[in-house]
Amino acid sequence: MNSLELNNVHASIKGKLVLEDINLSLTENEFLGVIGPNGAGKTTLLKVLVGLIKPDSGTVLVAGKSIEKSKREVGYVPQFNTFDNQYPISVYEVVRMGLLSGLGLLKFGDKKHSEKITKALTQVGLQDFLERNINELSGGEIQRVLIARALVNSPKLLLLDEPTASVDSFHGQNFYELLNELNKSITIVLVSHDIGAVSSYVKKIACLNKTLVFHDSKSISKEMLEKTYKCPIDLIAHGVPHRVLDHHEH
Amino acid sequence: MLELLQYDFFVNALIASLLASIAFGIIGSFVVIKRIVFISGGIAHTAYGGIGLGFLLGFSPLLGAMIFAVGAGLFVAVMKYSDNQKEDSLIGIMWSLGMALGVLFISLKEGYVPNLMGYLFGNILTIPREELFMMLGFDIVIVSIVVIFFKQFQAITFDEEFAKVIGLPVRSLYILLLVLIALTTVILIKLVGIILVVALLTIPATISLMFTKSLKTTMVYSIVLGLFFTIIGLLLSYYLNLVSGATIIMVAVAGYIIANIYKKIYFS
Repeated sequence: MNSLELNNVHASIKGKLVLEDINLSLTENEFLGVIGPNGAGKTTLLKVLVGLIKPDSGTVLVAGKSIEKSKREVGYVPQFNTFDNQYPISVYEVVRMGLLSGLGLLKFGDKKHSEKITKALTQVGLQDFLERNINELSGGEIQRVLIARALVNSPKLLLLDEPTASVDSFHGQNFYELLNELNKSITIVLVSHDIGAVSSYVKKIACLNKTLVFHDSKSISKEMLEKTYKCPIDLIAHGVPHRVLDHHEH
Repeated sequence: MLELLQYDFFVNALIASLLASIAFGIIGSFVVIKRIVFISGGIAHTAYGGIGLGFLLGFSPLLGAMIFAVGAGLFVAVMKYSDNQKEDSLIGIMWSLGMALGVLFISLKEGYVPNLMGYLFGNILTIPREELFMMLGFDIVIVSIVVIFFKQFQAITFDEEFAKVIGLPVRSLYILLLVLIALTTVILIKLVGIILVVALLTIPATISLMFTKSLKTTMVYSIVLGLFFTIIGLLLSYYLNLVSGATIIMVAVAGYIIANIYKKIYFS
């Protein structure tokens, strides 16, 4: 069973078509990087995947189920830098948010919940940060907290919106090593406008600009990028040790 | 000072201060962290239309205020979720419309026109006992709803989009929050008046946020600070023969300045 499947998905915002005929299928433990320029529909694509935007047509299946039925199987990690870091909230409370459902009340001091929260924070290496306030954390740490919040339901699919690797330097384990570790049991889709951010840890790359160009491999060709960005792009990989691109002629 | 407690009006004023502090301490914390101060000001001022209507048609002005404030809250919610680009202009229009209606209704009323300054700037020393029961009732509603939905309110004020993603009824929760703001406004009208409501919603919570890292403590600190400001303001206004509402606000603003200086000196 595919962990994510999109068939002929069209979606529009305020009557304007933003996503056209998107087809994509990912098997389990896949790691896809979606790149595309600003305004290419990356955010819309993520919103479709988490069920915030209903596609005009086409189907989206997560682990074989519709979005409505798979809410708990999708972990969503928004951009961390849009957060109001003056908000008085602890790391524990942020992660607990992931466990909220409907208007059902969380039992106070529910042990099961507290175990899940600790486990999720351990996965991202923040088990000692439970009581810390969000405004005491660095950008990279906040990003990890948001990942823990997404992991707390043990999702099958993890979605990341514009993660920033550069802010992270954490106990020697860098951000992509963390994602790589998580990827052993979870399918990951990462969306970014920054080609450099999509490092060699990504197993597959797709280019989005209204339509999605997805080759079932990791390589991106110059043609693929030019089609996506609508301008010539130099495929120069400065990013040692994280090479985006395979060795190539250019 | 103790001889003041022999006067019913003074005891009522003290009880009113406590009841109001509970409401604005809790709701003001949400207003400040969600950054909806302008929206709250709009809701409070629109209530003036209801006060005017109450006078004109001969029903309780506070009931009128409540109906208009809740109506304003619902209007704000509709604006927010209708993809309307002019949200803040429309709230501004609603704000002035409410005030204009209030003035118009009152001018239409023939004969005796009561002292309306009390509604605009508050008069804590004239709060009758039955209004204390109304305040108590609103407090019970506000406290129970916030206790029951604390985590949900926390989620929608911290990260509304994520709350939507995990399937929380974000819209209903936001409307509920606006209705609670409307009720708090009505509680505050007699204390400091419509025009000064915003100060008590924001100052105690803003000071608390400078010294605490949790939403629950922010609320508790805000209640204590609010109570402190209102009682000091009350005493000052009594002994110096000043108007109560404005004096309370002066004390609160002074508190805010002192808190800032204190924080600068000891925490930097």
